[in-house]
Amino acid sequence: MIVDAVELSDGVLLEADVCIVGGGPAGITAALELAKASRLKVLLVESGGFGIDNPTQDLYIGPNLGRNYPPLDEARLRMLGGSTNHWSGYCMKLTPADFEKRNWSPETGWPVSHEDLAPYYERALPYVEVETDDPYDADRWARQVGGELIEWSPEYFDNVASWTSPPTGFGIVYEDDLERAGNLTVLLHANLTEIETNETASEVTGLKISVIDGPEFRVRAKSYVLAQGGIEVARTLLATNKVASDGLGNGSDTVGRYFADHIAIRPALWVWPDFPGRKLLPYRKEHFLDNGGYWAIAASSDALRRSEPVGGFMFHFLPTGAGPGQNSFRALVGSAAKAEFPEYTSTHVMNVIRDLDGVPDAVAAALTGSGNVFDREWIAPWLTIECMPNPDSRVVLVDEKDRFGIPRAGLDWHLTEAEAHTFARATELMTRELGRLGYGRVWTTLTRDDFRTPDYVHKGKHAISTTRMSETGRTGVVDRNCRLHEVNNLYIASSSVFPTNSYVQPTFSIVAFAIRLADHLKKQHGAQP
Amino acid sequence: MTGIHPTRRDVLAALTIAAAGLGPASAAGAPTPVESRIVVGRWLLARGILADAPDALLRRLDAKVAAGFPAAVRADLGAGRIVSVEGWQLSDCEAIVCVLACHADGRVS
Repeated sequence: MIVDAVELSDGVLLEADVCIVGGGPAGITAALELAKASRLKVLLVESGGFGIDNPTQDLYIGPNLGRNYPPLDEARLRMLGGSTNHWSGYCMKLTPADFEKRNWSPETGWPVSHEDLAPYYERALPYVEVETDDPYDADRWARQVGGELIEWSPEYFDNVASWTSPPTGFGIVYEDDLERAGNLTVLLHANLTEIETNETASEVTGLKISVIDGPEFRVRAKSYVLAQGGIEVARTLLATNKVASDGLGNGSDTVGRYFADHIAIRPALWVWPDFPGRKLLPYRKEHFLDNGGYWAIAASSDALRRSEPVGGFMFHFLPTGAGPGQNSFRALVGSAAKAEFPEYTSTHVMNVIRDLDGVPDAVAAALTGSGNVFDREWIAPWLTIECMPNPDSRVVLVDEKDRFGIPRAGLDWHLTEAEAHTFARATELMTRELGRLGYGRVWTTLTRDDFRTPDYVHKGKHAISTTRMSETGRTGVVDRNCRLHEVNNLYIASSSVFPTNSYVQPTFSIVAFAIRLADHLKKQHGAQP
Repeated sequence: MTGIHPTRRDVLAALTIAAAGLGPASAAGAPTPVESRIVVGRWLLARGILADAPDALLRRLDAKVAAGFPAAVRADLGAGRIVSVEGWQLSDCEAIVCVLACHADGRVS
């Protein structure tokens, strides 16, 4: 059932087997899985309600202390369903290399493997409402949409299937399920204000919960799950410092560190395309089928990430009518209106390519006929990359406090040369592969020697790695079962546990990990399975 | 695919044509391919991106184009032998032809 906590009595004590804090995709999935086929009493505590309300959303306010990042109260949504109320719906799987230790990066490597997560991905598919019949066979679905996959060199690229969820708004789609589950109670407008622990901070003894302008009460459970986003979960642990002065579970000083997001340059290059037959079709748009949208993606191969120091990356091939170099393009348009070319060598370069590389007559006509080589369809791939682990990129507490007296989170986000290298190397490899295959010629500035990551890059608003999973408590916050190394009965369900962030959007993996955690908790509590 | 797929003989012939001030037909007002080669070649030479050593460049080109020019372009690009001209990614053999065109035309600088 779903209860508005404003209706509770002040000072009441609620008890459960498992209490989950945060009603986003992780919390809702874990709650439904726990409630299903078990008699466990589950309590799901959500700060917001069914829609946005400003006083609750304001609890997310916090400063950006490092690189340019969206305002923290706009990057996330504090309501039932969490950020699935504004997600794009892209669902891809992490690849085996994501879980492996990469020799060139000492802080890579997960304590779980791709094989460990595989069955949970299968179970996660219905939650995000996409195709469940072998959806990640990229070749099968390319043929289904009438196209063919490109034969990339496997040492550089893989073809990967991306599926687009409707996108599932978890608070809306699963409201009825949450309401009907007899052993599950969802508390709305219930804000976690304090985690109470024993005297060694090795066990959570209760939670203090407050409603804005409403009652305060406590929750006691056998196990607790923080299912907040990657910024908020770090804030919660760091602010729990009455017993452990550096924050709960923070003996390794890694809570809040390694903050990572997915960043993108859109576009990274312009391709003067000459794709034969049906090769481009699976890549150039989402193909909406009965069970979600399929999109073929050209992504870094696992072989590449195993063999050289480059982060993961993926290209979305998008057509555009605008040619390369926006400034140059504008200059060209302006000059074309006056029937003259600007001082720009593109015309000549393309003339060379046309002549020596034998591009089609139709393209050549656009070049030598109208004179405006930009007036045609280009492919302008978006490049999204993995940010490598960086302990100096972090969530911290700031002096300002919210209405409950809890310090606000500040985001001190940083990138390094590793990200610039990944952008450049990815673009170079795409240029090489398109040239090798004869599928197009490229204009880009990302391969210049003086390329640096631009001040503005697109962000996924995916807060990852702030409570990393690790083999031991020396290097991370949670163990392979997402339990805090230092706290016996406290778990985390969030992308904050991912030790590395891949190039893959996190929501689908968050859901898979939430199912896995629910299974683990069922075993811990003697329930099925 | 259509267009010109020159072998070494074609390249040399083209360079000769360029020296004579001729070249493939283009629309009125648009530069001919040979004129464009010269522009790009001068751009490359001005920045020292390719050495101003026509004999060595011709030998390098000769070694590349045995299987035809498009294949040489494919091979260069695939192997990362790429020259950037204001963002355009040219193959090494295309860049060489441009520099050689400058020499054939006598407009090196």
